[in-house]
Amino acid sequence: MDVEPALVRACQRGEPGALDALIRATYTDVYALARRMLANPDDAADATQEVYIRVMRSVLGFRGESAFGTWLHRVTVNVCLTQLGKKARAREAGAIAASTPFAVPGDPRLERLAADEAGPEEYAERGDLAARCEAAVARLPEDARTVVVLRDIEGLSTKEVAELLDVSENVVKVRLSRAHARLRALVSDDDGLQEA
Amino acid sequence: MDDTQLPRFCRETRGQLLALMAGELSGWSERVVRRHLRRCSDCAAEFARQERVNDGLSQLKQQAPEPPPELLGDLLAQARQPGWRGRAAVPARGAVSGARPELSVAFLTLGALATTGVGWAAWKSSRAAARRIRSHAD
Repeated sequence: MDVEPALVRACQRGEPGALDALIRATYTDVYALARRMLANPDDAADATQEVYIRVMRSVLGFRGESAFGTWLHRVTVNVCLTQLGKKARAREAGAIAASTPFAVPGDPRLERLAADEAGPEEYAERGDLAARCEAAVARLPEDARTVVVLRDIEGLSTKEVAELLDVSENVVKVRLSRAHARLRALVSDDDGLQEA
Repeated sequence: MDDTQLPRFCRETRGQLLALMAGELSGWSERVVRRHLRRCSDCAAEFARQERVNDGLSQLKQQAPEPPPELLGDLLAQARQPGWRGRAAVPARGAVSGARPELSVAFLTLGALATTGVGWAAWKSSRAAARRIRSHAD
């Protein structure tokens, strides 16, 4: 997420069009990170909107101590973690089951749901390793997925991930190791590897 | 097979696979792990799976998920018409952070006036109460 400091200053001064330019320059990266962390396109779109609400509220307070892209990255991760926390609490309370209406045949949500739930087996037929990995990452438990996305896909260091998640570096390493053991099982290619 | 059911050496080797691939193992540990991988076909297969996972994740890095086409329009509309919280928060943050000094001065002046008003009202009501007490006593 590279953003010109001049563009950020223009947003802080309230110049017309500056916020639009900032959104256009960054929203694909924000959405991609949210999509990977939340593993759901609708949740990712909601999270992206929430990120820019926070940006609008806080851009004047941004003092440029770190790069704007780093700050935006952090805001996105925090919004996603908040959403994951809310979903976990809702699941515990059974609120999702109670609030999800039954879909009838022909409902476009059914199609979307089927697309979301395509697992590694379906992707194996397409022979696309990246797509299979993406599906496998989406199937990981939320804490494991968060670590894999931040460390392996976004390329943050273990220390940075630990700071973002407010846990120790050892916890990050343990979660990463368990997540990769699960990924190996999910992505394992039956042709050849089991015979190796 | 569950990792806890594996022989100890296999369990420890699998715990080191990520570090081995990242080049984080020291000379001796690396030699021990590599020797085990040469001798244990199950762990060698697990190492090959880990290589595939790493390849897949590397490819994934290059393929960002595309946002839905309507998202940009929604974001721009939201930026042009922020809700009341957004409208109130931006000048407030600007005043607090110092990014809008004229608003900071206005907020401080309003604060000072409000404090003076509250103090004056309290002083007046205390004087009225004191007068009432004196008249009852007389």
